[in-house]
Amino acid sequence: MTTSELQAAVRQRDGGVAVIDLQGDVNSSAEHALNDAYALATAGGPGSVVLNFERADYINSTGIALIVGLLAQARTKGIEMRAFGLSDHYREIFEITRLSDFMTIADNEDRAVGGPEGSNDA
Amino acid sequence: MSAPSRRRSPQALWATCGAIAALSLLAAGAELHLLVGWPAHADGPVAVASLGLAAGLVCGRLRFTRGAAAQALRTVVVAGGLTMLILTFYVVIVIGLGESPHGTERNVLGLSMAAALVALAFSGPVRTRLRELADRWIGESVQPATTALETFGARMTRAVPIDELLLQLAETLRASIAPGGAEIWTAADGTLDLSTSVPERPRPRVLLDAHERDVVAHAGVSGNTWIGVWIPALLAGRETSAVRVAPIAHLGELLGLIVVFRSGEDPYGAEEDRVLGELARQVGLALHNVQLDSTIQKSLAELEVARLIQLNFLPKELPDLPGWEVAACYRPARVVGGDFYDVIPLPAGRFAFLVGDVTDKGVPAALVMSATRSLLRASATRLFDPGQVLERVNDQLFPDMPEKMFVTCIYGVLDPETGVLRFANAGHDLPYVRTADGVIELRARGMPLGLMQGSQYEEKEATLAPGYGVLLHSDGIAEAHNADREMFGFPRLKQTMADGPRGQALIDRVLSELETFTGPGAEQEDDITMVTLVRSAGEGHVSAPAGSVLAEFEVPSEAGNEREVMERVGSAVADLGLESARLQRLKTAVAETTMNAMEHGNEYQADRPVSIRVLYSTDRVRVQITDRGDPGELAETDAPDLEAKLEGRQTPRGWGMFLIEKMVDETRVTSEGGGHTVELAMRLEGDGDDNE
Repeated sequence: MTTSELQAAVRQRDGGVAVIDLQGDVNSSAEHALNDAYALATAGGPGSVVLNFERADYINSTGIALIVGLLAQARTKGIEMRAFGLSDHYREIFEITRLSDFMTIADNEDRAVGGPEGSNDA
Repeated sequence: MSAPSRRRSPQALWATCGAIAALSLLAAGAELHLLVGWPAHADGPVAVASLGLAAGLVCGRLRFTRGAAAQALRTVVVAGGLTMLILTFYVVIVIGLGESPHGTERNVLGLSMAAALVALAFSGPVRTRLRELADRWIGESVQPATTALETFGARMTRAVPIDELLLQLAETLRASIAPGGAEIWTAADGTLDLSTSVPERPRPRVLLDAHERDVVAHAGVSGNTWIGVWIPALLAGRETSAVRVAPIAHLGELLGLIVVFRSGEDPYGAEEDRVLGELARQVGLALHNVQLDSTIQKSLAELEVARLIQLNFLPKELPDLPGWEVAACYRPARVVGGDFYDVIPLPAGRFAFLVGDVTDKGVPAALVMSATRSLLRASATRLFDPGQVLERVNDQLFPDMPEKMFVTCIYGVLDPETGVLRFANAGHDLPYVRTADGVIELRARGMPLGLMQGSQYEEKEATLAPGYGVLLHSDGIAEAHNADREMFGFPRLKQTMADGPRGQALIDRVLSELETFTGPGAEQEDDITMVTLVRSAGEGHVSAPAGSVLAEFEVPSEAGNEREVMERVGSAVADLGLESARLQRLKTAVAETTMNAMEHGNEYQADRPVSIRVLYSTDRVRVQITDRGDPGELAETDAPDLEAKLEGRQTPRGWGMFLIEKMVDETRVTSEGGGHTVELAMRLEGDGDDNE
């Protein structure tokens, strides 16, 4: 059972959208990677941040807490956060925790980058 | 406190030395004055005498001079005494003859006294030399008898085999006091055999009756006359020789003889007898030790045979019961033990399992053990009820049981088909059963076997469902002590079983925990016996009856291990037909619960593992996750409020318990001494959206 520490890479898309590509486990040891990536993504003051969960293997409650923390920061700055690439199971968790009420969950990257017009249904 | 000693202190010695020297000087001075007129005045001698006395007193204050003081005293006494002797003789002869020497006569007298004193001084060493010369002319380098004693004494301390030792002794005797020949005989129960003879000369054995044996053993070194009366055979062919016999005995038992010969014209003397007697005494000790060694070796060999016989009384192999795993362990504290166990096949596929313990350990316990075991076997195949078997065996053992001894015994009859175990207990340690809900004890009342005539034994029943395990044991485990005199105790044993290992793994774990507890190299105090039966959970999970344990294991409390737990639980329930989404929810709940257990219950301490058990019952799967936290420490937390968190009014954390409850159908928390158990239950039937 190999656990993999989270790696987060930032890339810019059109319209001031920064995409954070997550690879590995979103758990307690992901804190630094996530925070660093977020800081990098919001350094130039973009309008929105998109979290890419396509290659995130595992998200636990501590990971949820980290995401909540990021979301809180984003809201104070007026930055919108969106997400895509979640499995059905994790989508369900986002819904149970009501994260999906504050973060748009999209089916794919383009939809997520596209913004509020992107689909939000499961 | 040392015994009062007659050794005089150095001070006394020095003082006496000084006093004698002073007196001698004064007396000598006086006599010399009489004979030769010198010293003329008393002052000289008095002064020297006082000096001598003073010197003695001064030396007495010096420490650690006892040896020197003794030596000085000896010298002063001998020299002073001899000098006084010579001078006194001169005085007596000269004065007695009425002469009164004058002038040159005095000089001659003085010189002659001096000559006499010098001759006296040399006489000691010269005498020894002259004697040696004469001895050398008399015999052929005959060594004094005492040399034989010294040589033999030195040899005895080396590890020389007894035969060689006796040969060397005979040769030494021949070279010193027995030019005619020396023989050593050894005795065994009144039969005397010639063991060694120099020169080699075979001799027929000599037989002695009990009385003769006694007389000979107590006799001192004796000669021809005595030998002619008591052991005339020794004189055969030696009628003209001077023969000496020294009986070799130890504690009044005759062990042999030393016999020496030489020409009849040179009879033996007292000094030689003394040496022979001393040699015989030393040989007696050596022979006695050899006998002791051989007795000990025999005892050890017998004990080893006893051990093998006892092992024969234990089952040579354990039955192969389909659907069951049987394992056992037997370790006596000494070579043989008082514990026993047995597995007895009974009609209709049933088996009797028993563990017993005889009071004490070692040979006495082993003897009672084998008798008890045979009686149990005999009754087991005739009377099938455990209570009746124990009653019968008790009544048979009671009349012959040695005082203060008794046997405890736990006896059960198992029907492998139904899993029903019917048991009775004669005062033995309670067996443990690992059930789905923890470890319980099986209790049935009854007194130990052999204690009281007519004892009655209560019978009880327990059903062993699949996955259940039973452990029969004896108190050697619980009563083992560590260096601090703390007992291993039954709770630890119970806990080891509760931890999860089953069958042979349980036995191995108990033994290793015991070894860790008592410390390496600790001596085993009491016999250790264990018998364990485990009923398999079965292959096809879906068709297994309710209560099956699908998996159980434990993981150390390290961050990240919850992933492993999640996956293992997932594979354990893979065949149950849980719908995919529900399986994922269960896995998440398991991971979150495990994280809680590791963090809050065990505080991420490496020596506190988290135990996981996955159970399958009729309509649901249950996962039990147990930590080792203190009971009563479950924290109640508020439900997480995302808005409050986003506004900073609540910490972002606290999602664990919330998620768990949302993911599975039921959660239940129990705590008992030793930790908390969170049980998650997920119904097998249900749609993907079936959650609150």
